Amino acid sequence: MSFPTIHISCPCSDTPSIARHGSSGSHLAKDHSDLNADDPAEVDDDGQSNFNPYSRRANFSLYPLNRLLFCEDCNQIRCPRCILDEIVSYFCPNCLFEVPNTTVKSEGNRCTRNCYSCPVCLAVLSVTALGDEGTAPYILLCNHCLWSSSDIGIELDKPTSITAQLAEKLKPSASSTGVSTPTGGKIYTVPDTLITPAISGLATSSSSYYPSRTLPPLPEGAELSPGEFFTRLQEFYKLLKSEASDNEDRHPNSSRLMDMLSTTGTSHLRPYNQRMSEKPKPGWAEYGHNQSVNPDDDLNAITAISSSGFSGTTSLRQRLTQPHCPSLLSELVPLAALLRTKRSKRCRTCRHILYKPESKVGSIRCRIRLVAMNYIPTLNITRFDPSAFNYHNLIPLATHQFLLTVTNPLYDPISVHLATPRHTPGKYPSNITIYCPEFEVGANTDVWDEALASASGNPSSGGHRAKPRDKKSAVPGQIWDRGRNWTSVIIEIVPPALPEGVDDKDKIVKVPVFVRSEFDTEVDRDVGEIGKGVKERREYAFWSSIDVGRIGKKDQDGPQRPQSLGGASVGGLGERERRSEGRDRRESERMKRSSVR
Amino acid sequence: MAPKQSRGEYIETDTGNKVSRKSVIMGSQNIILGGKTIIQADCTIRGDLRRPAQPGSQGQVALAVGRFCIFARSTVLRPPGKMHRGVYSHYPMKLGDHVFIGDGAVVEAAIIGSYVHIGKDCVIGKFAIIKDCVKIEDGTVIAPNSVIPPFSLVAGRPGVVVEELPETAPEMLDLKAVYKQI
Repeated sequence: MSFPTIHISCPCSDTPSIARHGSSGSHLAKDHSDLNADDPAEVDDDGQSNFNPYSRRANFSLYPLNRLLFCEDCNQIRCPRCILDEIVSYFCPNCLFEVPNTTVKSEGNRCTRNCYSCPVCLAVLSVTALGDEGTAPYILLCNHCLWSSSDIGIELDKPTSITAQLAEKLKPSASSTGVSTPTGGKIYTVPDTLITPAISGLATSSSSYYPSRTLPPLPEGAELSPGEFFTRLQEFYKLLKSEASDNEDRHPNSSRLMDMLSTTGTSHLRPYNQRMSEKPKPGWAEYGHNQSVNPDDDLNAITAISSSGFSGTTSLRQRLTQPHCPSLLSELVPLAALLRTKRSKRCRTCRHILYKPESKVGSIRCRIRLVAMNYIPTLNITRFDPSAFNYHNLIPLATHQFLLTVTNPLYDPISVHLATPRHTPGKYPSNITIYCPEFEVGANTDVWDEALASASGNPSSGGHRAKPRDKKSAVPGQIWDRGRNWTSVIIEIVPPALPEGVDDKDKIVKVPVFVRSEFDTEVDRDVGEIGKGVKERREYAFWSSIDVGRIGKKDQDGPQRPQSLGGASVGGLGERERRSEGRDRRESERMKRSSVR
Repeated sequence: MAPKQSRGEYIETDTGNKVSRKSVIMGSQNIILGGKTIIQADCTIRGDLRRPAQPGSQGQVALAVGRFCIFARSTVLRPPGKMHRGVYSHYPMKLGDHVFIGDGAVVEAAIIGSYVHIGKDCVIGKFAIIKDCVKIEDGTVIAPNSVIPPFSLVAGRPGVVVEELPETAPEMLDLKAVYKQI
């Protein structure tokens, strides 16, 4: 975690107090308008209207400014939780070709061109010629870990249409014995005796991909590609359903199960596979009996793993990215690239579009883009004293001065009101003082205006004031400095002394700051009958949480300090030693040694 | 605004490029800088790695860089090369605007778009294509021939897209303000 960081609270969070005001920020603002006037502690006590960055709910409402959008119609910040995503286009992240909607529906969300990633390290695979002067055979080679499709015995004849070739190669070559069509009659009518005991979930899945492996192939359903297998499975359950329809103890959830099956991918079907091939008699009566585990499955897996060794097994990530979840590296297949989407964003409340990208894949342009940083003032906090400073070790009970800079993104000057409780709401409250809670921030005008204004020596009309007094002293009630569209004020923080064994999250100083900005702007054109030049007062208001830093070690061991400093001068070791349990013992030893000298 | 002692460290060109005197730039006649680009100390830029000039054409560009790019200390930029018809030949490398390359990174990409942040100690493999608005975390290794789509946050070895960047990515990755500070 880096300090200092600033997060903005989105009012969509369902914290009751904020949600109630959520529809219009101005109400919220009014509640707090008197807050900064004289006594913030007054509002502090009611507990309802103050934002608590330490609460667990706060995690869900706090976002960095760059994640936030802004709805002009609702006059509200919109966070990723209160926007709706709409897919504009699908594209392959590797070849950057747009994939039409219909193709995505029929072919699935993977690239059907030549884009494959390495099953071992997920880097991109490139088609490499093995023959002299770039001729056949071709392999898919990972340039990062040097895995190649020849490791699993696949070489290609052409450098193009990889998907079709791979599908051909991964299909079993041997034709199965009397597999009926998916649509015809009873599908699995193989006697139990035909099924070899070696069939396991592992063997099934791998033999469907690699018939030439040592594991014996499944006589029936295993010799199908996952896609075909899925169709058959669906047929099987339809059959079951039709048979069960006249059965009395029909499963109440059978239709729901069918719906689930039609949407589930093939990756979860391994248990069904075994169940089906073992049981020739469909029917709900046997449903529960089929889930017994074949002990030979485990035996097979153990032999396979012991022959390949631990290094030949897949990692969890490798296994989960594969549709058939293999345990051995030799069973991995190249992964077709997953498609990505371009999405437009809408406000969840008023359905207005907040962000609409161009549908062209490579382009970063957009037609509509209402981002919060173009509306609400930007906060920035830096250390007042610019010398090197460890934000992870704020000295307790010392006064820390920070410079809070408010930048105005608007073309109108704004007046900013900052408000903060007197103490942070955490378990161990720090004292906070903002030297100047009300001030003006100039408009975000052309840079030239400022240059001309400073050249001619008088402030321009854009809300400029002369530079405030000399920069040497920080006077309460006055701003520190100001520029074209920014103003900085001093915020003073006194962290408390923490008792031993405090939770780490309580050590972080989180300062809730309520920011309200008011400005006059020209009325929109759609209410243009009033005429141009009519000004309208607008305001934006939001809570923000400034994570200033972590409170450091208590300064209590004052008398021991010279000695421990001596220890620290040896190197970083001294610091670590001091923190360790046996600190006192070593300390005394060192003292002894030094006294001997 | 800039501190006085930094004067003399950089050679400034008419278009606002600032090139450190301590950087190693080879084949500078083959390098095009768009302007306002900063090249810090100990950078190595191999403009000499280019395809041998054809008899007809001349003045092959090895490296084209846009505006507001920053190459931090000790970065290495090498145009990518491979065997082609029995000859090892190099291909030009193109960088867009607002490209930041962190300390100690080695870049052999073919194309890098605009608003790209490459972290410290990254390795960008040969012929990689990085599109606009991409952030690459420190220490990432991007495999050769990779393509990184727009609005991606890339991390890991090998680098994979771990997250999408928000809509404000162009502002986040803008380097105009940084240029003014140096």
